[in-house]
Formats: sequence, C-alpha cells, structure tokens
Amino acid sequence: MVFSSIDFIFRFLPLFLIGYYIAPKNYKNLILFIGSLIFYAWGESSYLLLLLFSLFVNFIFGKLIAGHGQPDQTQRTRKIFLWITLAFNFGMLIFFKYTNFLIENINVLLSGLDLAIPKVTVTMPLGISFFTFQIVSYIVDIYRREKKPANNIVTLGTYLFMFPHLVSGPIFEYNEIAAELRYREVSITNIEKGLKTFILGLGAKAILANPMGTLWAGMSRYGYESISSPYAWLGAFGYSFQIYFDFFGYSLMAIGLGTMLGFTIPKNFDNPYISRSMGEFWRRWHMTLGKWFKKYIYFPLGGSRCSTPKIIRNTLIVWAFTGLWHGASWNFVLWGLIFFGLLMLERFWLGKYLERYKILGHVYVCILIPLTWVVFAMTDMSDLGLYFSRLFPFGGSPDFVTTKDFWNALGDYWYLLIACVVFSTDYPEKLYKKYEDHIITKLVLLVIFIVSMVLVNKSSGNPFLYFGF
Amino acid sequence: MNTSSIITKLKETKLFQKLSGLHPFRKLAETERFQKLSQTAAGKFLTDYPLMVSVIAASVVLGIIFAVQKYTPAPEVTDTPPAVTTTLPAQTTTTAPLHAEIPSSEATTEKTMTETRPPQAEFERVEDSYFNDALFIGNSRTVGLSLFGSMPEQTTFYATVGMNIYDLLDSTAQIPPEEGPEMSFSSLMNGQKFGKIYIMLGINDLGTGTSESFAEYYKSVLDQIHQMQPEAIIYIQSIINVDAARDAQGDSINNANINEKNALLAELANDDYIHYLNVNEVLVDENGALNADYTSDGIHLGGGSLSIWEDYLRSHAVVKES
Repeated sequence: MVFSSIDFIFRFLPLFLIGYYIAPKNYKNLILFIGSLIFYAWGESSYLLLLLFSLFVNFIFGKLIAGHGQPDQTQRTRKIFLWITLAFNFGMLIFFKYTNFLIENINVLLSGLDLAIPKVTVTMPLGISFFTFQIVSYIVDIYRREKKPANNIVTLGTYLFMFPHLVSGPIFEYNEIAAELRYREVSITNIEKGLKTFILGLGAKAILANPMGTLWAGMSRYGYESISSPYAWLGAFGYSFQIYFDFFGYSLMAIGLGTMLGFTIPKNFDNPYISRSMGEFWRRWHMTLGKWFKKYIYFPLGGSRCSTPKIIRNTLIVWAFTGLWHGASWNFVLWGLIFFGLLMLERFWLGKYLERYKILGHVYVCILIPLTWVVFAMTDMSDLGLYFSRLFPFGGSPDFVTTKDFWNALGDYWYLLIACVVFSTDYPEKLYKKYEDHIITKLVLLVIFIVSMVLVNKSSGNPFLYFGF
Repeated sequence: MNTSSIITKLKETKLFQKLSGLHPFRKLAETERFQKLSQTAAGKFLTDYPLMVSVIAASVVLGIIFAVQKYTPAPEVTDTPPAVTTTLPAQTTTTAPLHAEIPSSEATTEKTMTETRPPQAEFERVEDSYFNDALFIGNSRTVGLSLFGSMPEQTTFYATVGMNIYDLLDSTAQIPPEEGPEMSFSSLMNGQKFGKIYIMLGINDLGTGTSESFAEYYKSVLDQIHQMQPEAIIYIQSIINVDAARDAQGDSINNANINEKNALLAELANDDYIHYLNVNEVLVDENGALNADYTSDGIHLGGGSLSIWEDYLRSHAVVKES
C-alpha cells in the first residue's frame, strides 16, 4: 500500500489511528506492530512470513551478540554470531534482489563456452533493501556495544516494521527511537501537527511528482530516437523533479505519520537542488542513507583519516555499493561510479573553485544532476546511449526529429515546471516555518489535501478511463 | 535581502493592512457568539484542531463523492452512435444484421479469416500525392505518424492520445495533433471533403466490452462516416499488435485480444468503399508480436520505424477509376 492512495488515506489510516488511540499505553506498540503487518500484507502477503522469520532470527542473535546473562561470552563468539547474522541478512537481500543480475553476468562470461544458467523467478519482497539496512544497523550497534538489544520481540518488530518507514525509509537507528518505543506522547495535538507534514508530502507527490512522471513517460512513447534535444533536456529536468518530489514527498508523509504516532522520524531531504557541489548534494539528498553508508562502511574502512590512495579506495567502495543498492543493474553501478568520479574531482581540484564562485557551483549542480538521473533511469544501456546522443546531438539528428515535441510539452507543463523550480529552493520552507500555525496556512493545506485526493482518485480508477494510448 | 525582510516590508504596505482588516476569521473571532461557541467542548475542539477537523470533514465528503462515482454504472454503450448533424442527405444502408456475418470467435483463427473474406480489391502502389486528400483518424499511434512521419503537408490528421471508437464521433481534437486549434469531429467532416479516410482505433478499447460489441460499434461508426463522406474510400487499418514484452504483462492489452478484434474488423470490409489493411503484415515478428526493434514502449512505433507503416500504405492503395 502506498501512502498516496485512497486505500491508505480513507481506509487504513483512520481505522488504524482509532485503534491506536483507544489502546492502553502498554499495548500501543503491539497495535502498531500488527497494524504495520496488515499495511505490509495489504497488497501482497507472500513474503510477510519471511520477514517475520527474519525478525525472529535477528532478535535471537541480537541477544546472543549482546551476551546477556553470559559474562563468559568471549569476544570471539560474539564476532562469530555477528558474522552469521550479517551473512543471513545480506544473503537474503542478495538472493532476492541480485540473483538474476548475477546469473545474467555469469552467462555473459560463459557465453564463449556455450553454457547458460537459467534465470530464476523470484519477486523481491517489498522494502527488503530498507529492511536489511535497518536490521544491520541494529545488529552492528549491539556488537559495538553502542546500545542494548530490544527487550522483547514486539519492541524490535515495532521499530523494524513500523509502517511509516517500512517500505521506503527513512532509515534510522534503533537508538534514535528506543526511548520513544518505551514512552511517547500520544495526543491529538500530535495528529494535528503530523497532519500538516503529511499533507505537504502528499501534495509534493500528487501535484508535482505525478505529472512530472507523465512528462517523463512521454519521452519514450515514440522512441528515444524521435525526441529533439531540447525535449530530451526537458525530460531530464522533468525526471529530476519527479524523483525528488516523489521521494521527498514520501519522506515527508513518513515523518508526518511518525508525528501522529508520537515518533520523531529524522528528515531525509534538505533542499538538495540548491547545493553547489556533489558533496553538498549528498549531504542534502536521502540523508539517512548517506549516514548509514558513512557509519557502517566508510568509517570502518578508515574514512578520510588515512592516506590519499586509501581515501580513494574507500570512496570507490562506498559509491559502488550505493549504486548497486539502488538497483540490480549496471546502470546503477555506473551511476554510483559517476558520483565517485565527481566527488574525487571536487576533493582534489574543482572544490576550491566551486567554493569561490557560487554561481559556478549552482550551474554545475543544475546541469550535472539531471544527467546523472538519466543514467539512473535507464536500465537498458543502449537506451542510455541513445538518450545521451539526443541530449548532445553532435552526431546529427534523424530527419524526422522536430522541436515541436519540446514546445508541446512546454505548453502543457510550464506552470508545473515553474512550481517545481520554486519548491526546489528553500524559500517555500522558510515561509512555511514562519507562518506554520497561521489559519491561512491551514486553509492552504486543506486545499492541497482536497486537490491531491481528487488527483489520486482520478489516477487510481480504471486505467483506461484516464490513461490511454 | 532575505525572506524575513521581504515579509516585514510586505506587512508594512497599505494593501496588506487593508486585507488583514478584512480577514474573515478575525472578525468572526471577535463576535460574541463565536466566543461563546468556542467555549463549548465541541467549539474548543474545533478551534484547537482546525486542520484535523476540516480534513476529516473533507475526507467524508470526498469519500462519498468518490464512492458515488465509482458505483454509478457507466452510461451504457448504445448500439447506434449519436446522430451527427450532417448537411449531406442521409443514405439508407442496406446491410444485413451484423451478427449473422460474424463467425464465432473461436473459429476466427487467422486461416479461416482469410478464407471467408470476400475477394480483395486490387491494391496498387501510389505516389505520396495520393495522401493529399486523405484523413487519418486515430489515437496516439496516429499522433506519432503525424508528428514524426513523412506524409505530405496537406494530409489531415484527426488523432488524440487516448482516442477510442466510442468517443470518436462526439470528440474534438487539435488539428494538426498536439499543435493546431481544437476542432470537433463533426465540423471537420462537414467542412471538408476527403478522398480517403484511414482509421486505426482499438488499442484503447481492449478493456471495454466484448470483441463483438466493439466490432458492432465500429461498424456503426463506419456507417456514419460513410454518410458524411459518401465519396471517400474508407480504410480500416488493423490494430497494430504489441510487442512480446507488453503482451506478457497480463492485462487486457495483449495480442490474442487484438487478433480477435482484427479478425472481426476484417469482416467489416465490403471492398466497395470499405477496405481492410492488415498493417501487421509488415510489423510483426515470427510469433505475431510487434517487432521489438520498432518500438520502445511496446505499443508505439518509434520515429525511425514509421516509414515501414507508411510504405505499407503507399503500396496498398485502392485507386478509383473515374
């Protein structure tokens, strides 16, 4: 179930909130845990048992690694338990997410020998990438003795499965909400507060991201060879806005839902598109993921406090994995490596110029980020090549290409594109913070809610009624 | 200049002060009745949680509206399309009831289809100028032909994204597609005489009704078009198949469904003024799916592949002896 759906907003959420509020304090975690399982199973229930099994395994091993009640537990055995748990968690992720990718690549290597391994049909459990990173942070922190394991399985289950962040993050550590899992303020004031954030996120998704998605989907309709260069650039910007407002909106909705339930969920985005370097961009984009990679991969490797070749190696490893984590396909690896290259370039040469000339930094980010998103979007390498040949038409264009497509799309989307640009800056946020509790602001939020729900309802009906060819 | 200084400046303007004086809530809040009301439990709740209360109220209203929309049966598709006002004298069509002509859908495999079809008119290869007085009617696939194809400037296209057979007669479209002014179908038909009318519709109708009801409606649309343009040669183009990947997605947009409808469309040709063009002949692979090299999204022909479609039309034209 996604947050921006009729099912969630009109059915699941009101029913759940009523149950959650009337439940006695000691049972609120249990209600949240069960509610989250229902949320997860609403569309597809096939993997629910698997995730519950994983919860059970991690709960047990968390205790074993902590070594409670066994003072004779040696460092060695703790380490063995740690590796078993990590192997289990990453094994599950690799099996479900990367098996076919691995088989494909092995087959490419074997093709000279006329051998091929058949592909397997596995569907990925929803949210497994986020789930794995959460659970690994829990296990590693226990091993490092940074925190104590959860006292019972419902507490751990509530942390892991909690529906606001189960499927797409934000990723946060057990420590960050351990106190709130024990005691949190559940009040109607919090619902009112959380609702504001939720509606902002809903608006970002339904009013900005979805139409930008339609713009982007239009790019491939008549094939990438047919698009004109201005249209290709418009598409790259459109996709950049789609992916930002989609994910930013989702994170805002998650934070808002967290507030309604009495949790403080960390923010995930800080106006990334106003950055002046890639380093800054990644401190503002999907912040909780960057934090995870830093804490559990970059720093253990030595981070930046080592020799230059080692820094380069560490950065390379982090970005290769960051790319691969986003999807099991080579374009994601390429995407990660492009950021590795750019970050190294900034570190050793470009950074000082970006620092000195602010405008240069903005131009650099505003041009390169959409290009990196194109790499991210194209899982087919030949499509990627084709798209870049349209972005940079140095090899000439086919005769049938015309810039009419650009003007048509601009005519349809100009006002939304302007809105996207405005909402990518930090001015709306500043204005909102100032007038957050003003009655006019609440009225605006109500309008955003109504407009979003009408749009959501429109697109959720019979696809033939609203979409067509 | 930062945001806060802009805001303070704005607040100092006369206009702002005037507007805030008109602030409906402020006036309302000052009235005695409101003061009293807000002291009741319900009133206090409302003033403490205005957003939550209004969102709940809005949700209830929206929920009811959505539910009513969802469960109101769609207007039934009538067998005869609405009459289109036409300046031309109405012709009496003497076609036998359609049902009698259509063999059961199971029997309409491609083989029997070609066998039972009436003898085909002679197709000839023609020059581009043949299309000068042609009208192309269609959906986004035809929009693509208009945007990226190489038909003559004079060719007319009446096509919109999402167009389907049921909406056609009552529709409006931009001519040329996606750039020109809006025009209704009936005013186009009444305002201009066409020598040839090419139709390709159906991909958006795959989820509506049965193949039989689709063909029946299609037939009635053809009758109307013939009435309005009695001299035009009408070409039914087969619905282009989708590629194998799109076919495998498991919804109603699949080749079995398309083939079934195409078989019935072929039956509509009378080889007098209605001809059937099996465009798929040159577009599908050995499995009957749209050749994946010709498409990106599995449904539309790419700009570089439109020439195959156009060539087929050039080499499959009927020339009227005058």
